[in-house]
Amino acid sequence: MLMPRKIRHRKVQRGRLKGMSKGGTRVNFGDYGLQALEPSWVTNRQIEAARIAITRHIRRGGKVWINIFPDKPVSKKPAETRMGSGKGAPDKWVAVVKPGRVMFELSGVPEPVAREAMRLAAMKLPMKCRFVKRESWGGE
Amino acid sequence: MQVSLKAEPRTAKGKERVRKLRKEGRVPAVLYGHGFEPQMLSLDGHEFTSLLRRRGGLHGLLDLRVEGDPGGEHTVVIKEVQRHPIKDIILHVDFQKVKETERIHAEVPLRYVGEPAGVKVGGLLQHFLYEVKVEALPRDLPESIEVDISGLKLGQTLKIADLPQLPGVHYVNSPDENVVMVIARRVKTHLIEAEEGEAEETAEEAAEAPMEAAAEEPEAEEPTADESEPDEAESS
Repeated sequence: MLMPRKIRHRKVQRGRLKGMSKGGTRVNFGDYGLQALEPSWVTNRQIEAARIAITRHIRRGGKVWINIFPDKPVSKKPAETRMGSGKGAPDKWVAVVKPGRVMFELSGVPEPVAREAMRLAAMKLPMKCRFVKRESWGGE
Repeated sequence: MQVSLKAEPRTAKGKERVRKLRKEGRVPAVLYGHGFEPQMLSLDGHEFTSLLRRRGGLHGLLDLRVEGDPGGEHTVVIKEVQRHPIKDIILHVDFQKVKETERIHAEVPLRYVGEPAGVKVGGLLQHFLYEVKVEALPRDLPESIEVDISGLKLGQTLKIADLPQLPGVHYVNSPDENVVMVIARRVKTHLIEAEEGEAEETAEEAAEAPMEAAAEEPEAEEPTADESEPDEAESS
């Protein structure tokens, strides 16, 4: 599962999810992509589940790119613990995703296959997503 | 043939005023160039979008006519188009004024011709570049560059150095940079074998089902075990 190899701080503040994605909003590597329409944290388990859903569906051939990386540690206090006594232990890794971000890209498969693969992947993710194609002004 | 585009001078500056402009259906733009004072413009959003659709991209030279300006005829290239991350709206356009005697840098789309030999035998065509950066005089700037990839075999790579040499056009990208490659399809044999095995087993089970009705419970859990196996292999 995706996670950083080494980190500077074990625990970080939660931050806020404001605004739109600043970059990575276009399909750059493949021919098709899955774009986030809402802000959310995506855990490394969700990324892995989505990746598996895509690779299972495309089976032979095709190439998948994952454009997000879960580099933010999220901590959690144990159940039934009183408040206080400091911040909880690191629990999971998440990627901070803002609207517009193309999270997965795919190439080497026909469009209906890519569409279905991305639909299956979107079902593993915590936000609304849409299928996008490589930018073409030709009015495809 | 060069396409012409109409623009109006713009005084509205700053996000509030520019937002108002966008609500009116116009797109803020800027025109700049070597030895030329930058000029703020606005375009008709619908006209500009349909122009882009018609041309199939942002490439090539345009004739920009600034209305109400006596010397307002410019030959330009579209340098940048800013778009909204989600909505299909153009937020801002950059035009660069070109001089006939000055070489310019521009991105030219690559058009691939033919089906690679490697793809015919089951390979997968992987694109690294869809556009190349070139340096040329405006009159030499090609609309697109045609690349014949029919001779590419499995594992072969087409590099910038292999692109056709056009008169007056210099490729800015490194000659060693990959353009396109035919890679072998990654067939997950273990996954396919496992699934084929399962299919055979289920077929056999179905055939033997009337005879052996019970004692098949452990088999039912196998698919989940198979499912977890390839995932681990893939992630490593």
